[in-house]
Amino acid sequence: MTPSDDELLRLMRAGAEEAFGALYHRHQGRVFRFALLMSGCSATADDVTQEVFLALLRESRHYDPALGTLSTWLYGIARKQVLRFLRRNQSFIQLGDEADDEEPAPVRYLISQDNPLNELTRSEMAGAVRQAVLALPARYREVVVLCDFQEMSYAEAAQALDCSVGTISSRLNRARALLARRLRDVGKTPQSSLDTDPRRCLA
Amino acid sequence: MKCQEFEPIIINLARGQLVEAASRETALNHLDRCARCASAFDEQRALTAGIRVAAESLANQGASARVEEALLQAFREQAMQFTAPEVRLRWRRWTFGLAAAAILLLALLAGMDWLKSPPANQKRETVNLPATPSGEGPGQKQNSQAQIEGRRDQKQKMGRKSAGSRRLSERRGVRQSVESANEIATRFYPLVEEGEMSPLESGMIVRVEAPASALITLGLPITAENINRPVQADLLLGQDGLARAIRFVP
Repeated sequence: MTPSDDELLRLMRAGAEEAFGALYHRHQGRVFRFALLMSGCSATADDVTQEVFLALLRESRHYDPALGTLSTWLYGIARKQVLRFLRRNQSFIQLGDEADDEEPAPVRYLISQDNPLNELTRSEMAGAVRQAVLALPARYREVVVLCDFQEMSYAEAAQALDCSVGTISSRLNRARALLARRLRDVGKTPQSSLDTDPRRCLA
Repeated sequence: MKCQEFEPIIINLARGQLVEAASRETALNHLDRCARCASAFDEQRALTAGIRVAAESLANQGASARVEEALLQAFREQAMQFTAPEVRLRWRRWTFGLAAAAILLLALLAGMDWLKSPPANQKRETVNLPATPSGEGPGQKQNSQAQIEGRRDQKQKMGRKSAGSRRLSERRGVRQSVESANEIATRFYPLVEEGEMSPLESGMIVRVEAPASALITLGLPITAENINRPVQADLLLGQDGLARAIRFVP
């Protein structure tokens, strides 16, 4: 029988390295992918993942099972770390959190113009979708990543992002409308091949 | 209903989420009649498919091995930090215990030393004598032969005791001290009466620890809280190994 998160957490606090390892392997992928989709940079995703599990190691007393699952608690920490990274790198990525709800930052800001693989990258739909997600304002991006990419329920996403379910719903609708418009403008149809991996650190 | 009101329902349908049956029926009927909403619905379905494929392309992505190594190292360091204080506390308890035992042993030895020294009434009698306990006093010649004979046995007994005491002190590591010019000490209090022993020709000072109550025996002041504390004292031993005088080092 697979031990629950809370059981592993109890063992981890008692000093069992295996329990910490099990928790890490259970959650690191999702945390990493969340950070990667939010930042567009695998090195940053690595750093965020490390910070999240260091927080689990050092501040797990702040986790209250009555308030949500361990997974949502970890996402909450990951989100703070990612937002810190995005604030630090505002000169590289237009976040548009304040004013540009109407239109996400152009994809061209996110793809190096001197990259000879640009055309190939743009032809790959998965890459186009990810770039379009990256171009969303952060508050819409995080909802799309959690609800659509990570398939979280609205309630779980609301816990992770510390807001109401209604806010999640309205932000997701808005985010998806923006994404659809972005992809239409770029001229990509999401039905195309999407198996590319256009990771490129813009930080 | 206006098109705008259908938007959330359409998005939920496109995402494959469960929608209330009545709302679903109304929305599907609206899509049949409204080309704009039908187009938006198709777009949203395509977007859902695109997101799904993009998510699948990332499914095997995870943090690099260095992250796990760093975290396991941090875990071990933290575990060490938690256990180290316990070990330190255990060692501290042992240290305190050993120190207390050593002090108790020294006090016991000093007490035994003190008990083996000449009787207290003799000390009381000589407490106000001059600091030089040796040499022939002017009244010595006036002592009768009977007195000398009478005390000879006592003297021999005391001699044996004092010699034994000295050997005991030396055997148990009582430190012999050389009188330091900087050390503050009381004057020497004689432990024997004048003329009771042979003149002091040479001597040796031996540092011992004695219970503070020994000060009372010599009529020296002592506070109640210090009565159980050991005090350091120097014993003046004559050439015959007998204790002649004592002084205290505060």
